[in-house]
Amino acid sequence: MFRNIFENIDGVALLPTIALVLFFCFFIALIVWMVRLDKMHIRHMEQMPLDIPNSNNGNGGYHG
Amino acid sequence: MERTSTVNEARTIGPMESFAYDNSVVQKFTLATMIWGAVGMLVGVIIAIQLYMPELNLDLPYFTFSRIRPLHTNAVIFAFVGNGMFMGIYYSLQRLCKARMFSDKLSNIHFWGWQLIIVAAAITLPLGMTTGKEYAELEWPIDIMIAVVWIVFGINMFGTIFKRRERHMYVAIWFYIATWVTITVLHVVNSLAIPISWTKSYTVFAGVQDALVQWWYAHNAVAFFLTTPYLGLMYYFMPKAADRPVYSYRLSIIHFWALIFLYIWAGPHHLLYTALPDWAQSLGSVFSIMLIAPSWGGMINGLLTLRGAWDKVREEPVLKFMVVAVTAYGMATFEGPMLSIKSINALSHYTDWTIAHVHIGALGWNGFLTFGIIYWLVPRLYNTKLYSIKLANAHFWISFLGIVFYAVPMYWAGITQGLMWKQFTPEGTLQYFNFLETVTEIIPMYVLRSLGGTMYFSGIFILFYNIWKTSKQGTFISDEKAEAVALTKEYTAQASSHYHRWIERKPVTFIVLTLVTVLIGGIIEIIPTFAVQSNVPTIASVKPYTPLELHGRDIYVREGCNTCHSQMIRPFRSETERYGEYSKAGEFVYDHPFQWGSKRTGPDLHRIGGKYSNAWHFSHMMDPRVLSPGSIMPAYPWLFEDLLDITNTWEKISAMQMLGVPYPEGYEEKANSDLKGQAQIIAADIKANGFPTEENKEIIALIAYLQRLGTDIKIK
Repeated sequence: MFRNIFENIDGVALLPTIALVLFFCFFIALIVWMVRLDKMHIRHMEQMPLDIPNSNNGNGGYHG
Repeated sequence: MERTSTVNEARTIGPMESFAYDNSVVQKFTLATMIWGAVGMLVGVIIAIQLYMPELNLDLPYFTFSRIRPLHTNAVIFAFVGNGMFMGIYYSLQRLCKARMFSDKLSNIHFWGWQLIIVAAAITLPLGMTTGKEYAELEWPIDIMIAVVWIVFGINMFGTIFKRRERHMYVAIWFYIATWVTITVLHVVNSLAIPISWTKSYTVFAGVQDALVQWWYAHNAVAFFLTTPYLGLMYYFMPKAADRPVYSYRLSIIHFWALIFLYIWAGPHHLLYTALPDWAQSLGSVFSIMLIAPSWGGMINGLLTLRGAWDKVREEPVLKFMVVAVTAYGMATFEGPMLSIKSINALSHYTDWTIAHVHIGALGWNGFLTFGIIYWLVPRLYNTKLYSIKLANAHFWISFLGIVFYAVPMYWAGITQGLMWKQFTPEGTLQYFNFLETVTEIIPMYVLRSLGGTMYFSGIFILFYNIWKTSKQGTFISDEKAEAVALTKEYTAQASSHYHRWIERKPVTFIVLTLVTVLIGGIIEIIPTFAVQSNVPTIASVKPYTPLELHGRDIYVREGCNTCHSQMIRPFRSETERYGEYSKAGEFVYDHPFQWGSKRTGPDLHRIGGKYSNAWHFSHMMDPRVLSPGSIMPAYPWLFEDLLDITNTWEKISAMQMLGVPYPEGYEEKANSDLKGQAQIIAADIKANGFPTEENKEIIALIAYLQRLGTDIKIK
């Protein structure tokens, strides 16, 4: 019953190629993202599990 | 530059608010984790012993390996790790959000609902109520309960996230969100079924498609039930226990997105060399190998969190447990991709190697992280110190040695048996043609394994005692007071603020992105398998099961035969020599559910039809050791007494017709007369061979099914 539904999708065989392209773009974007991250913000984020009183509005200060 | 200007982000700061964290739900989940952990491990020890003492099933269906092995897996995964996950999430989420859980009522419904599901599983699985799909055995009413309770958990979690007093969501919360989103999708899709009664349903998928959906589910249950929530816990509790931030927050971002993106594709690595289309197998292999990168990134991130604190590991049992847990995560996530390489999988698949692999994950990663968290958490819930560091160390060592005594024999057994299956004589015949020879060879390993399991199991009693004493010496803080500044509605972000910071503030966007990320892999793999005709070549000679065979098949599913017997002959000479022609996708088109299995404790059964006489099967099911001395298969005497229930034949045939199985129109009305005719022939044949029986017994239907298996295209 599912076959009938999916048969009608145009160009369904193209999906693997789309997959490769998506995969590639995904990781490039991810790495760019990571490299451009703000250092102070990271410091704020990584301190979160530790019991350090801080303000919470994402003001990015380092509380250590 | 933008990197230094973030202090300006917060323009307004709200008033200070007092509130209390709900510790009682955490306490309840902690207790449930320990109790169900003990139950799951006890069942594990029992079935481990049954593997060399099959008579331990006491000739009762409810204690038989094939029925209670799913109980063991369900108890460990959904009861032990499930409760452990909720314990950690309910503790950490409140603190990371600086808010009490959204609703105490929902917390309670979640807790008691989840326990009710576990009890329902513990009752129904030994009773033989099963869908026959690994790690998704629970029948449809329980599936619906799971969905409801899971949604309650979701509302409670997202409600808490929405009322948080912390602008950004810490990485642990992303892992929790991914867990919730993905498990929801997996559970709904894989549980789609047509019920024929309160206790029986047929999956809407058939054969190779069912296999793909099932392993897409099962693999990602490992990924998103046993891994991502525990990674979230690792990212919260390890910095806590080591009292220093995670090694690299950047790495954790990559770890998260790469892991959830890649994991979802890897399911087909469970189906290498099967009748699944080749392209899907290759896709599964490639993505599995790529998974090493994020997994090891995560492991390294966890271990390096201890930089400068390694001296503490020597003294602090919490850290000891955590270090072994993360190391086991690293080992299992290296081994997984290796086992996904086709040439390695050719040897490892269907053997105890896989069992060893998953127990490194379950005992090491999940078990040890759970224990570490409990030892860290309970003293804080009771505002005291741990009762005994010594006892915690004793627990660590006995369980650690338990893992070694479990895993080493299993690796040994798996590789030995895998090689024996493939061994040819110089003349070109199978050296160990009798499957049983390859089983008796590894029995000593099974004995050792049960010893290792018992050691690990005994450790949990030390945990119980230590935690009980800790709770006695402290006072439980049900509501832990806290203060935090309220979030203001107005938030002015820097124009140059980065995308990820933006996502960290927007839970809904985050949920949608996570959903899209995990859906991509599933859709790309599953849709073409359903859509492209050539993926499941039709074979004209393959016909639907007769009503008696269909009933027999349901008995096969009920008894859990697929726990030990595969129905999937891979295209190797060593397998075609032993079992016959390799299995084709087109042979399974009427199989709801597929029963390919994943482990060969006994031989493959796909071409068993016609290989032995009806009388042979009759005698063999009564007492396997009469015909196969040394066999470790349990006896199934109840099949010889219980009458076949044919009152639901109409429902069964109708359900199959709905699913597209081409029974003639109106066949459901006369199916029972056909059924009786076939049963009479088989029963008469068995009686003629000197065994007293009657045509209305369950065993007749089972034999009818076994004799049908693989005969549609039998060559020679």
